[in-house]
Amino acid sequence: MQEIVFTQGSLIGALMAQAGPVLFGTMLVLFGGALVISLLLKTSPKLFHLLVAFICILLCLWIGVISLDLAGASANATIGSLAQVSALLSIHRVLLVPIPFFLLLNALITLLVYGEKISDRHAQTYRHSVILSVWVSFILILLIGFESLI
Amino acid sequence: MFSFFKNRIHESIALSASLSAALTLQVGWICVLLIERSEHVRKWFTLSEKIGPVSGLYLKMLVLFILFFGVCVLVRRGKDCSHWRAGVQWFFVISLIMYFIFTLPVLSSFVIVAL
Repeated sequence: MQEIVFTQGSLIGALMAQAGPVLFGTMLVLFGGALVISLLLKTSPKLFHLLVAFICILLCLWIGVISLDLAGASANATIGSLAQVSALLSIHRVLLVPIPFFLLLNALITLLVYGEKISDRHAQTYRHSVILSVWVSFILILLIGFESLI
Repeated sequence: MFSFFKNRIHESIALSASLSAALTLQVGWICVLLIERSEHVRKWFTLSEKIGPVSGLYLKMLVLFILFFGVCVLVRRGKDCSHWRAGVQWFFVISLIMYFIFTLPVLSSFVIVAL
């Protein structure tokens, strides 16, 4: 059986080698769309289909990023003056991971229940909940990204 | 008959999602503090030696969410939930803030990933 070999310098090879950052970058791009759509739900209720699709993809990407992150966890010692801060932030980063997952899941279930009626007056609380979930998820994912840089 | 069910909004399901997410986050931060303080709890949560107690924490939080969601849907199915709406959403926001505060590195400084 012939092994798949990526040629040196190929785009797919580079993407496969850096799958985590690529998935994370894709998430940020999709979040850009989801943030705008969540704000437009009141005026354009038909956009909920698009938001549901975005949230489904975001959930899958988030599971992928976390799986890659945990699979790559190794006994690397952090050295230097920022060693303790880096260790603490990596713990905090790992503990923050469930929040975006549950927030996006909550937004997805709410959108699937209400559908186009999410723009109605009686669904105002749930519309706010969806907007809050999407925006807080985005902020936390940015925070997780920044914490992983230190 | 089917159009009747299609047009009906099952608010109890949306409410159950918010309530179960909030309860899961509340249980989550309590588990985080227990993992730090008790060796027995830490061992109980450690499903993978490589990843540490966070493996059990993630899995148990997911199972709890499904469990809470199922129970809430069964309890509130077909009932009027309008008077619970605001309360549950505020509980959801408070749970979010509490989970964020109680997982700050100042409060939880245990090693959960093999560093």
